[in-house]
Amino acid sequence: MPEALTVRDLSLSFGGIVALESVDLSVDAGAIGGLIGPNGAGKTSLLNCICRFYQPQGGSIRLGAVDVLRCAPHQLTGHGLARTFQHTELFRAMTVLGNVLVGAHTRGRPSVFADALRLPAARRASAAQASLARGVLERLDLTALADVRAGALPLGLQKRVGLARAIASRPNLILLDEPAAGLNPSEKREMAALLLRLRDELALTLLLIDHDMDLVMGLCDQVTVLDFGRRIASGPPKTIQRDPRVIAAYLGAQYSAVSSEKGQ
Amino acid sequence: MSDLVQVVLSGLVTGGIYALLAAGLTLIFQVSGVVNFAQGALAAVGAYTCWSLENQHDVALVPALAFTACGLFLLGCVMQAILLRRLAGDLASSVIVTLGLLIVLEGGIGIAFGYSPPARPLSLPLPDGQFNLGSWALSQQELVLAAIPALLVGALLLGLRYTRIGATVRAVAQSARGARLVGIRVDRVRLGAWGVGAILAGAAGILIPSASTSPISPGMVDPYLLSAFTGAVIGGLDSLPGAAVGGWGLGIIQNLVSYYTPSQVTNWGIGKDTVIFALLLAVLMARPTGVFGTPIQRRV
Amino acid sequence: MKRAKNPWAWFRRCPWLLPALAALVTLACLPLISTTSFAVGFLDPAGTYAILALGLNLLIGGTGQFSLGHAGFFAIGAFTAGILSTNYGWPFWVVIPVAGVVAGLFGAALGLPTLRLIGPYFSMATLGFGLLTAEVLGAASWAGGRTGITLNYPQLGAYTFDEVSFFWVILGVAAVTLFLVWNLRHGATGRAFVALRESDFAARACGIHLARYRVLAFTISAVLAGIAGSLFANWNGFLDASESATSSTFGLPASVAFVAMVVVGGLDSTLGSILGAVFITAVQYWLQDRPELAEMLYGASIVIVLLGAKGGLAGLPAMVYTAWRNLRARGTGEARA
Repeated sequence: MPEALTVRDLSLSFGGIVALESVDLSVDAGAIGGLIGPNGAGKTSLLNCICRFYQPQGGSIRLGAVDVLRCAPHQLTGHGLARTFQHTELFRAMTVLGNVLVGAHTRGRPSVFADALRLPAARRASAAQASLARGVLERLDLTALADVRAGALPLGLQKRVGLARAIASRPNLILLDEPAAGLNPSEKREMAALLLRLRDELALTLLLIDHDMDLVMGLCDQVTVLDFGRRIASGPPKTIQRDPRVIAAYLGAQYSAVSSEKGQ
Repeated sequence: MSDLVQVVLSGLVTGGIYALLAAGLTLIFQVSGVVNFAQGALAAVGAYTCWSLENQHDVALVPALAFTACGLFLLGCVMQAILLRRLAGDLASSVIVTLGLLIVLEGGIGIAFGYSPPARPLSLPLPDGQFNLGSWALSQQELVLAAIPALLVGALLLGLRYTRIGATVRAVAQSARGARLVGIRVDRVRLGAWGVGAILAGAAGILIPSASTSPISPGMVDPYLLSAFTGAVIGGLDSLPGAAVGGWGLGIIQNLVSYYTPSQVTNWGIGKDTVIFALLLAVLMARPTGVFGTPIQRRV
Repeated sequence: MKRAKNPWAWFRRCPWLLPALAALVTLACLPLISTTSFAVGFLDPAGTYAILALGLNLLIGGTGQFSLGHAGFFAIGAFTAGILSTNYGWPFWVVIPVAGVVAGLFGAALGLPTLRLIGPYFSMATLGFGLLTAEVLGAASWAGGRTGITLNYPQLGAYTFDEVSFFWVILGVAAVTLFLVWNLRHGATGRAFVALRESDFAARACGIHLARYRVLAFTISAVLAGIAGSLFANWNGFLDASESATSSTFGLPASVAFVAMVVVGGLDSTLGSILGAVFITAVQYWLQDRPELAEMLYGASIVIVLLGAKGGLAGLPAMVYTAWRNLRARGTGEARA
């Protein structure tokens, strides 16, 4: 199975602090990958490296055949990468439709001159973008909220708008930073179902970070575990759950011995 | 050579005023995150209050200074409490709001006291005569004028370093959230910082007429303001000693440039102010947080 | 399938066309009844500064970068016009676009290195630029030095414009500017600007080129400021920057007035830019005998708007409506909306 995302030997440090150390991670095309670990393990830093917000000191990141480290952040959408953020990072002053339109920015927008002069070419391009955006809204059940200011929405809906914005660029791979954080249990179930549906309908690959173990174990095909910037385990959920190193990382060394004895 | 020493001394006098303004600016910025463009107006308020007390109400110098200091402290607190708390976090807006306040305050002074300089100047009891250091004859007045800001800024820095209140202020400057968690009344510290910042500005305002031998006017601080900003930025807005050093350094550089620039260059439009602005631009582009500041890390 | 040529279908598609034409015609009639002093004191500056404000709002309201130095670009445009007209005799309709281009080049030059500066640092950098420009133009002998530059009345073929009739030129340029800026702001470009302001991380993740759009906003605002400056040179007839940094036309007070126009009119509101420019010009005209009072008034309005009425003049109807609704709700004892 081809790999949609391949991270090899990635290292990142800020001044004297080592955030990531020789991390390997890969996600197969069409799969849902999970990235877990205690707070401060480097999960978001890894995502930020993939998005080119941080410059790693060593290693490689490939998106299929594309060498990500040679791209600027804004070029990645063109290569099929999209992302959601832990704190949604929505464009709060804009409407939901506006947010999704920005997501579709790289899909057929008119040139600045044509835009300013409202040339027919620009109008056609705008219309095409608008219908693309409305299609996305419909897919995510957000049509009724198209003209609502994004900042006025409750968190659950904001997360959905963030997701809509991400899929508007027609990505192949979506990075999701804590998509379920702050949601109540039923919202989490909805989110999980939504992610599965989108993965199937749009032939996506997903990589998600989250702290909710039920969500991650239930949704993901492969899980990678980070601790203090290093990868300590990787594999299918069932294996990860029983791995003593993972348990030690989350609960402390004294529990891993007990759990592995009890065969949990 | 004695020319050079004289120029440097004059530079220290101007630089001292910059340092006072810069110190107040930096203190306010570190504690409340606002770049206070209204420092200039606060300085003018200080100057006018002192002048008015002395010349219109026949108050002696020392009580006039004390009253002015208290008044400025209150004014600074009021500005923070009423006006700027409502803008918490909105950095860009706070710059513009303080700019608006600068204009309003200066206009207010103009309305209250008239826009043209009053006939009687704001005079401080400064010594005349020369002080002989080896072969150099230095003006005593300039020496005193250079010393006063140094004493004030020095007192501030020592206070921040060695007193409990100082530690509290430094805590808030580093992390307001953390300070709150250990029980520090962050709001009060902010009020205090604005008050002290206002006093420093007032001190600058009171010294300016003597330093530049010009009468007071509502806009008298404006020429000093930008240089003070530049000094603060070069030194680093998150380093108080850095900002003060920046102020002094700038005063000296400005004076040297002014003294040694040939007149043809001035005709092209390049003068001491040009150098300042160019320097400001250069520093902001190369290292915005200044020589002594710490670079900003943005996390997402 | 060919659509039936129904002239009324046009108006239905663009419902703004009729009111816009009506407004344009009304404004065009003003010079017919205006005195010279009213034109110089109010009409010409209002139109000129509206053009500048439209551009500046793309930067301040759109990308969210508060520039305190746009008087610099205004001055560059004005003096380019002055020098090209008096020293080289170029006609005004060539000089104006050239002035815009020159100012735009400076805009791009300043926009690039100041790209990544946040909030107050950006403001200070632009402040430094504005004052630097005013200083240089005020002292330099090739910019008129202490005597300033005097321009001849602008001519188009055999027709010579005076201060009053030049308003038509200003009106024309303003109308075109409004059209262009409106389209930009409500299209993909404007959305990109706002996205960068709201969250530059998310914007870049959506494929928006930070440098490109920030510099674009800066450059457009500089071009429009330059054009405004060249228009000013033509109707004012006299350029004098000798007061340099404290000049109320080219120095810090001017930059502050420009920011006031944008803020008071309504940040990120295209119509607001025009309202703000007209308001500030009206204040300046009405208080021309007490200019310091005028300055105080817009200092105060900046503070008031930013602290309480963020929508500015353009947001006034919405504010009034909400207040009225709340009052009614309170009256009938209902919960507040």
